[in-house]
Amino acid sequence: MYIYLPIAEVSMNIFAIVGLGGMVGFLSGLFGVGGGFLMTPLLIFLGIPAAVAVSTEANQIVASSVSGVIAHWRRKNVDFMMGFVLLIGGIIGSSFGVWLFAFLKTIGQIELVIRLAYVVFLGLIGFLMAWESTKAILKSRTPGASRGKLHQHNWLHGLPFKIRFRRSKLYISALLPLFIGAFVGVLSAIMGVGGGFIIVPAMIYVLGMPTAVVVGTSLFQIIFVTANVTFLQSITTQTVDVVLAGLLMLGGVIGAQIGSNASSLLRGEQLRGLLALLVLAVCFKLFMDLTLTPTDIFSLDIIR
Amino acid sequence: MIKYYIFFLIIIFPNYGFSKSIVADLSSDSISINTGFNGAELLLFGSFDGLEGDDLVISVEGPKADTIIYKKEYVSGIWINRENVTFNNVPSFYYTVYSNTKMSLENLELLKREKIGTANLELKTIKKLRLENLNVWRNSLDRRMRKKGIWVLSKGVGSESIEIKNNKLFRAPVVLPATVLPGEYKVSILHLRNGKIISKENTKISVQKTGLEAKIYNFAHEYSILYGIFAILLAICAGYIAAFSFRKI
Repeated sequence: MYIYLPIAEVSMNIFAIVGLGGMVGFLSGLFGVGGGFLMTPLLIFLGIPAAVAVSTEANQIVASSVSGVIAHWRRKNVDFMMGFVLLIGGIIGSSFGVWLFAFLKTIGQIELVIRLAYVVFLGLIGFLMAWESTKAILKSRTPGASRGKLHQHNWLHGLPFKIRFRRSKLYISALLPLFIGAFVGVLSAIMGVGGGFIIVPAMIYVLGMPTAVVVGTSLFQIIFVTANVTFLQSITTQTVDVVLAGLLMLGGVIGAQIGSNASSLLRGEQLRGLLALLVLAVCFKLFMDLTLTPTDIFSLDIIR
Repeated sequence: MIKYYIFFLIIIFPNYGFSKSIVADLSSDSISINTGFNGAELLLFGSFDGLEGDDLVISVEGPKADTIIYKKEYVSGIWINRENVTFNNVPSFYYTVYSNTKMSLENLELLKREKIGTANLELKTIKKLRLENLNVWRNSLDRRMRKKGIWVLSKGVGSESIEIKNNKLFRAPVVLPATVLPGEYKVSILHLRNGKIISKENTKISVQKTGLEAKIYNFAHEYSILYGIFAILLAICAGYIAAFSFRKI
């Protein structure tokens, strides 16, 4: 059964879209990842124009982050002060990102930049996840682990404009989360991701936040950043396809529930290793597209 | 009144006066791009007064749009779009049918004069280019459009291209792919003999976005601020419903 997507202006199999949403939703429920970094390239492989894939995925992430943050909110695992500082940075960064996106689109380099960004970041997280899961598998065989300090202090903690973040038990410069938020905001606009895969490690390793509040807080700020991207893309490039987003949300919601239920039944490390392989495979495909000699060095773009 | 009179004459005296004319019609002259749209197949059919060896040429030309051709170059390990050339007013769809696989030179010359077929389109570029350079870009445009299946040329009779009966009746399927742009599609049928046009008929297909698809598209383009807010609200509601409908008790 085919459906004509009004903004993407392509005809797609409805089950393929809902199925894709479900599959990525399943993975995000299973691993607690956002899934945008898998969804956007897969949409591009399916034949959705890259610009539409990025903007529409930002819209879908609003939905998945809202449903995610509610669960964390109930458990009081959201540091609103930290989230607020992050989202101010995020809104500045994503606004710049949308502008950059429109600029790259006019000079015909947007596809290249999206692909390059994906190759770099998918390669990075794929490698880190593979590394971590092998380490975890090895560790599970050798018992005994040491406990460290709450967090380490370094030069980053000497920056000015210090604020107390009560939920995170931190007293650090507001510039740090502001900068992290801005950086992830730019990526969010260009790659169509929430940016959880960067912001979560940054919160743990750079800011030194307790892991319990990290996911809830990042989801909280992702809602606002992706909503900002959705809004700005709607008014500048008109590339948000609500029909596509709605179908992805439908699949994603169901998939995420099955995934989060399944996560208690399955072994974590092996699955994380599998996800790492999947991420690396997508990265490899994008990398080959950039480096292999194309069959035709000319390509075309019809301007509406 | 005169219209009915002519029509009456055609019916009564099909072999007099009007016999040299092509009479053609389409199975449908308006196509709606709606939710279920996945391309369309039309049938162009009619009659003409032909002899053995005559050529029938059908062309369907879609709405025009500026088209950019990018040329990739190998830069430090990756292929990057470097040079580009923009052609103005390029038909976004062009379907041509020749009833004979080998058309006579005079008839081919005629098509060139009449600017029928993608090879005979006069396309202008924004940048001024030297002729040999322009040809490279022009050929690439041709090749990419054909590859996309939006510039199509088919030659010879067959159920896929054109069927002719007794040099009198013809029928030709016209396939519009799912990627077609909305707008007016000009259809022309030429009946050629020895480098001359025996007769000619023009008609058109109008392709429009209709229903919900059209509404969403117009909403996104005309009220983009509201559309953006709507998209966000939709997502928030969807997320909220999801969180509560699957709440673990």
